[in-house]
Amino acid sequence: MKYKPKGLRAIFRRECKRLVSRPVYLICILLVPLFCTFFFTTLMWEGAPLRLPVAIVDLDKSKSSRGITRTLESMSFVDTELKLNSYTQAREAMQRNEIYAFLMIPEGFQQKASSGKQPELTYYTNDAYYVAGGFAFKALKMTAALANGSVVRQTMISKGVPPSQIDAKLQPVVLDTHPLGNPWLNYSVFLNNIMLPVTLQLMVMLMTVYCIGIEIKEGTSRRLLIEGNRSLLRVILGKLLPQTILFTLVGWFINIYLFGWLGFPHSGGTLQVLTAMFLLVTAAQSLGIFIIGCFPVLRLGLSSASLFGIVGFSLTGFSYPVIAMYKPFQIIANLYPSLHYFSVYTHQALSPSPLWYSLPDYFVFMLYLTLPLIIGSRLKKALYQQKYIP
Amino acid sequence: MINSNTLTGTIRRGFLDAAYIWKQEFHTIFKDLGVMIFLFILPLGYPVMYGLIYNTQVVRDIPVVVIDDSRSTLSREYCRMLNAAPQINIISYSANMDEAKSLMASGKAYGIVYIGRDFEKDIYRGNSSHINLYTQMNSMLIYRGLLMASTDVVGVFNDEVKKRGLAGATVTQESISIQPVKSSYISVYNPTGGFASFIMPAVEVLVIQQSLLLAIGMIAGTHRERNKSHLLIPHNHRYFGTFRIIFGKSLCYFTIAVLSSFWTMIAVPHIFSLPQLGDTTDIFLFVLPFILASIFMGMTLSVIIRGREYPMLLYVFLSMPFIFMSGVSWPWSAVPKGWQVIASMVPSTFATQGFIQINTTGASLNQVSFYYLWEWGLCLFYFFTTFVVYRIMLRKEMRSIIKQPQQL
Repeated sequence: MKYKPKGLRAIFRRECKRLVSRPVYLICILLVPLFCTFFFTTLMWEGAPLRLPVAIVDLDKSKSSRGITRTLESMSFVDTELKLNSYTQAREAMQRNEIYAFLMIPEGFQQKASSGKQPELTYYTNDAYYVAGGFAFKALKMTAALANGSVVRQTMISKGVPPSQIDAKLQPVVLDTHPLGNPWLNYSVFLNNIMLPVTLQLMVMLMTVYCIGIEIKEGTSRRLLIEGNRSLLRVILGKLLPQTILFTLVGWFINIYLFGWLGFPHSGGTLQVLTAMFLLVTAAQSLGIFIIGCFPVLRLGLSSASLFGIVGFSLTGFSYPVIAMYKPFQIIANLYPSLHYFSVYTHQALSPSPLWYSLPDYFVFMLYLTLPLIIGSRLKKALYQQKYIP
Repeated sequence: MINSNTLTGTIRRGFLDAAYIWKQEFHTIFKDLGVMIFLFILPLGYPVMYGLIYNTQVVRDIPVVVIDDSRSTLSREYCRMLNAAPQINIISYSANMDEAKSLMASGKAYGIVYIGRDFEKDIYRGNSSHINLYTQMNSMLIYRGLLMASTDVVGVFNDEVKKRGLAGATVTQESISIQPVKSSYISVYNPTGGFASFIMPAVEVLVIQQSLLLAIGMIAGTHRERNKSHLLIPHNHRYFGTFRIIFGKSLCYFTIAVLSSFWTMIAVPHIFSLPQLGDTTDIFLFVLPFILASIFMGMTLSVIIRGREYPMLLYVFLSMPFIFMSGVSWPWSAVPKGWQVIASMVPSTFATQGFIQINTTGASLNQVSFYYLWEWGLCLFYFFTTFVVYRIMLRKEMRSIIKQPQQL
């Protein structure tokens, strides 16, 4: 059989037709990233977990203990509906997952406080739930500090210390924190700015492997290669360009949705991040080509891309930071394009610094583009032989 | 020959066919490298890998730059105390903000501590003195580490200042107790605040469900590709009964999943010395309905799988939404109601919460009865949906056989 060699444009058009005619393409390219964007931003809509259920065990039942209870109740992080009567009850409520934390006010609290006998407030948090435990801790610690402060203030006033000096005496040194770029400590900003690009990276790798691997599986790759004038570059470029365009548009949509619509911080670095998003897509595509070149069997290629891609969520370090991991993982982490996207995002959008600090990251993005060259001849052979091992 | 016309005959025949299907399913799995990867390598290897990734548990020695414009005894003392905090490592003392910022921009530092010119003077004058902490906000754990360490150090430093009576001390003040109300904080169930101790139980549960979803989907996809009419059920008279197909297949997956969940939920926490207060029998009993529900959910969903690659394209990314739905990272009480409804239909959601309660907080099965019963409910629900979809599939199969009887 003879096939007429066609140009890049013909392969591009052929690929576009495939994208539209097989639903799996549009599901994975458009629907999955958009669903994740919708899911994660609506999940963390409030930014901070409000109204975490906590309990108060008030064994004193005095005016002071009621004051402490009211202080805790006034905090927006926590919901203090549960009033319990003993430590055991509170522990059991925690084991049933009804509360994340509880505060114990001991018997004789008021009496001890007024007679200078240092009563003790104890608070417990369940750190098996890290974020919930952390936020509950904040509310409880503040409550305990306020309880202490109010007693000191009373004593000082009665001792004749001028009110203007009380604060300085209570706390000679004050810590002012400046969380750069995310003063609200918005959890959604912490996560979504980087988790969504990592999701995109996973889908780009999977789709790259799929669209090349399926040609081998269905026995159309040889024909494709001949049509492309036996030029691997032309075939790959023609096949992947439609996806590059679509994925980049989806990525930019995510950026613009987060920065523009939801107003996530991006001090002027929008263009740099959009560029990085485009480069993230091309880098992930190069990785995809490399993977299918190494394992030119569709299911092995996809398995490798899945197993590799899913670890990207951990190794990009947006939840557990890379600097805290063991050295080998720090090295492997550098293999993920998303790590470099994360770096560009941090240094260009979140806390802006001159562009040249991010040049190494852009350079690494470029390095990814050389990956297909390494594996090119192997992939070409596989495309030509189109052996499918079921 | 078993007489299929009597009831006992039908039942016996059904059991024999189910056993046959069970055996066939094992054959399918062990002949298929792709399925083997997801059914064995994923649950065996991944929890160990994640365990290693998070094994350091806490963030230590976060690189920090200090700008000390006070250059006084007290400011130096503060810096020494700060550097002694386990979370913090002062990598450099910069002359000005620009220098410090460039260290942060190049990713060498994650925080800047600025001590103003009048730091010491203000303390001696009895005014409030300020220390400024600027933090890179790309990671919550780093921010939390810097904040916790700085707050603690400032607290200790303040006590020291008050004890020495530096802050414009007067006789009256000495008589005032620094801390009339003591407070103590106890972190229970994860006392070191370790990241692995918190995230690993979720990984251990989710990996079982994902491995089942992927493997069952791949097997179904393969059946469809091999089947000449692209149907799910093979042309084999022993498969002609919905119950026997469901029992045969699910028993095969169940056998494997029970073994792998023993590995992920009992052995892995033990290997990494993660909190493990739960009773092994309770964990085992708790996991049963979760495994069954995952299997039946996988079998129900497998009817939409047309090709053997589709599960990887459609299921893998779901791991992240599933883990966030489960209420382990983002607290369940903060999950919007609409997503709570959807999340509660996913077996891993309440299985994760229940498993954390048993494993990490040492709850008894009785204390997590809500989660336990819910999982059994899901199990029944997905069994029913599996029954319906397999019935439809079997009908299609029968029709295609009537059209082309020579295929049998």
